[in-house]
Amino acid sequence: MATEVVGAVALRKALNNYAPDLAKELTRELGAVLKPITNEARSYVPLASPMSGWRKRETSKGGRFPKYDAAEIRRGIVYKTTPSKPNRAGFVNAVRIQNKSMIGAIYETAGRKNGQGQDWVGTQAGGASKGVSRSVNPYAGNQFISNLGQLYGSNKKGDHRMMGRLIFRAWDKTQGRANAAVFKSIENTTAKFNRRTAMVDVRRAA
Amino acid sequence: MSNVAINIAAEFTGKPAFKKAETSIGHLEKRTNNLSKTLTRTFGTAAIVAFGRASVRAFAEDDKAATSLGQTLKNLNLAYGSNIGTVNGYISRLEAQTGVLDDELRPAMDRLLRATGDVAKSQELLNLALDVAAGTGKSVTQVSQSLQKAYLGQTQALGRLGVGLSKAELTSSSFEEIQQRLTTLFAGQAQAAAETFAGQIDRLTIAANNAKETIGKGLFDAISSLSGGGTTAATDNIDKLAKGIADSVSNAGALIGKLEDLKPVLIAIGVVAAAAFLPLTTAIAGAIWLMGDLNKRLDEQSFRKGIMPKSFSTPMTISGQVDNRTLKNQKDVTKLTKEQAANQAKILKDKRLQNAIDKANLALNKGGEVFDMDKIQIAAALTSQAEQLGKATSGAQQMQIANDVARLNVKRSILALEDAIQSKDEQAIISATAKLNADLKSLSAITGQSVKLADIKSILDTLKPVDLINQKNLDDALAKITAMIKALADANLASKSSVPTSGSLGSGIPKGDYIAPISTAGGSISAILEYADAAAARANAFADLLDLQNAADAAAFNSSPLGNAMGNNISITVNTGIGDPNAIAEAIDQVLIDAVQRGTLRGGAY
Repeated sequence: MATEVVGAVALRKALNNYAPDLAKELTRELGAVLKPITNEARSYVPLASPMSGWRKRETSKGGRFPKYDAAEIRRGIVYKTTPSKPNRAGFVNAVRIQNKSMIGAIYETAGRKNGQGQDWVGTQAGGASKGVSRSVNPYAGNQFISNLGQLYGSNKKGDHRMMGRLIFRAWDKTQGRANAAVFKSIENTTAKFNRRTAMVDVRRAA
Repeated sequence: MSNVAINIAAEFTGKPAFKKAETSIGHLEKRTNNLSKTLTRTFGTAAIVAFGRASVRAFAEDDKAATSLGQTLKNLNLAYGSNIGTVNGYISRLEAQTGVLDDELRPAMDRLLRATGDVAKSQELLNLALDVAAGTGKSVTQVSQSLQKAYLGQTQALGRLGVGLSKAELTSSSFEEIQQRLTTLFAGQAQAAAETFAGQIDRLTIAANNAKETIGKGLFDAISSLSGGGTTAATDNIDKLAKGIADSVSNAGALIGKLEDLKPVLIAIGVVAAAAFLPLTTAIAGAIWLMGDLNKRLDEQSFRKGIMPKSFSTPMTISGQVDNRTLKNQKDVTKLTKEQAANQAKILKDKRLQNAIDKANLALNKGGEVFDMDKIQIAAALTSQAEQLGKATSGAQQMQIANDVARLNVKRSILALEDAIQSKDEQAIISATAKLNADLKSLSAITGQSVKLADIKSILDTLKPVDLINQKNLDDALAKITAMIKALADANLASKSSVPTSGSLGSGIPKGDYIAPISTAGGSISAILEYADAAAARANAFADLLDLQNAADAAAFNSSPLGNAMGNNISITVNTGIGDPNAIAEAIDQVLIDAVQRGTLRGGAY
C-alpha cells in the first residue's frame, strides 16, 4: 500500500519552480531506484503465450478479450515520478510503478480474487453477471490461472491487492529496500531544498 | 487503461466529489434558468395541462397581490409618477436577490406602506425585515407584521421574535433607535442567506415560479379571450382542454387499434377500387399534384410580395410571450447580476492585491528582523550615555543621564519581551516581564522626582561592564586581605621569640664600633686603602647581619599560625643581577606592573 506523504505535490512544484536542478536530481535518484525494478518486472514477461489459444495471430481482429502480446506487456511496465490525478478517495500518487496495458493487467492479476478461476455457469445460463465463467469448458478458469503460474507478493490478512506476477513480484523481491530508498531520496532532496532556501538570520550570526 | 500499479508515495489532496457537487449545482442552476423554455418540450400533454392550470392560478394570485399593492398606493395617494413601477421593480429585484417569493414580499410591502405611508421608509423596513427574517429564521410576513406594529408603537410582537432586544430596551427606545439597533444586529443576513446553498435553491425556485406566472399569464390571455375573460372561465377551459386532449388521445389509440385489425380488408378494398377506377384515380392524383404544386408556387409568390406570411420554420413557444413589465424586470435583473459580477470581480481583485501586500509585509518584517533599527538605536544610545557618564561632572548631568538610561532600558525591555512573546518561550517571557517591571519602576521613580542617590547609582551601574569588574569579588578579596593582615598581627603578638639584634646575633661588630670617615684630600694612598678595607669589612658584617635578620624573620613567620596555614612553602624568585640594587628594584617593579596588568594585583600606584 502507498505510504501517505504530506507535501509531496508541493515539494514537486517548489522544486520545479525554484530548484530545477534538484528536481532533476530527485527524478534521477528515483529512476535509479525504480528502473531496475521495472526492468526486472519486464524480464518476468514470458516471450511466448502461456496458452497456445491465447497467442496473438496475424488474423486476430480485436475482440473483447485481448490476445497475449509480450512486447505490449513490456511496453506497459513503467514507473512515474510525476503526481497523478486524484483518485476517488482524494489521493494523489507521487511515485508509482505501473502495468498499464490491458493484457499486462490480466497476466499480472489473474487469480488474485479467485485462485481456482471464476465459478462456471456454462453457455446456457441466464443473467448478466460478469463474475462467472460461461465457457464451454467447465475447467477453463482453473486451467487459465494455473497456466499463468503462481502469484507473488504479500498476502497479509487476505488482501490480494499487493500480489501479482510482474511488477508486484519484482517489488516484493526488493523486500522494502526500494521503498526505503525512495523515501530517503525524497527526504534528502527536501533537506537540500530547505537548506538552500533557509533564511539566514544575519543579526544572530553577527 | 488498467490501473494496476504500485503506489509508493501518495498525498491526500481532498475528495474530488466536492468539486463535482459544486459543478453539478452550477449546471443545475443554469438548466433551471432555462426551465420555461424547455418545459414545453420535455413535459407530456397531461403534465403541461396541469402545469398550465397551476400557472394560471399562480399568475392570478400574483396579479391579485400586485393589484392590491397598486390599490394601496392609490389609497395612500402615493400612486403618482413612477411609484407603482418603482415598487414593483423593487419587489422583483428583492425577489431575485434574496430568494424570497414576491408572494410574501408584496403583502409585506403593502402592510408597511399602510403603516408608514412612505415608499422609501417602507423599502427600508422591508430590507430590515428580510435581514431579521434571515437572521432569526422567522417568516418575512411575521417579521414585517412585527415591524409594522413596532412602527405604530406596539413593540411586544417584535420582542417575541427573539431579536436580542430586552423588553426594557423595546419600551424605552424610540422606533428609530430600535431600527438602528436591529440594522446593526442583522446587517447582511439576507444577502448571506441568499448566497448559501438553500438560498440558491430558493432563487431557482423563484425563477421557476416566475416562469410559471409568465406562462400562466400567456395561457390566461389566450384562453380567457376565448371564454370571454375571467379566471374561473379560464381554469374551466383548461380543464375542458385537458379532457379533450385525453379523449382525443384515447380515441386516436382506439382508432389505430381498429385500423390495425382491419388492415388486410382495407388493403384488399383499396386494390380492387384502384383497379376498377384506375383512369379516374390517375386523373385525380394528377390533379392533386398539380394543385399542390400550384398552391406552393402561389405561396412563394405571395410571401415574396408580403401578402401572406410564410409558416414558421421553428414552432413558437408560449414562453416567448412576455409583457413589457416582465421584460423590464428581466433587464433589471440582468443588469443587477452584471453589477454583482463586477463587484465580485473587484472584490477578488482587491483580495489578490491584499495578498500581495501581505506577502510584501512579510518579507519586510523578515528584513526588519535582520536590521532591527530600534535595537540598533537603543544600543547606540546606551553607548553614548556611557560615554557621557564618564564626562559628567555635576549631579544634574548624572540625573539626566540616569533618566535617559532608564527610558532606554524600558524600551529595550519592551523589545526583549516582544521577542520572547514571539518565541513563545515561557521562561523568557517571565524573565523579560520581570525586567520590564523593574525598569518601569526605576523610570517611574525618576519621573516622579523622588529619586535617591542610590537609585541613580543603581541605574548608572547598569552601564558598567559588570562582568569585567565584579564588585562583590573585589569586596571579598579585600576582606580576605584584611583578615590575613589581622592574622599576621596576631601571629606576631603570639610569637614568643624576641626580635634579634645585631649584638644578639653575633655579627662580630663590636658595640660602639664606628669608623670615622677620612678626608681624601691630602691623605695617603695607603690610608685610603686601609679605610676602604675597613669599610668593606664593615659592609660585609652588615650584610651578614641583614641575612641573619631575614632568616630570623622567616623563622618567626613560619612558626606563626599564618605561616602554618600557608604551608610554609612560599618562594619568591626574582631573576636579576647580583649585587646591583637598581637592577633588583627594576625587576621587582616590572613584576608588580605585570601583575597589575594581569589583573591579579590592584591598588597603589600600579
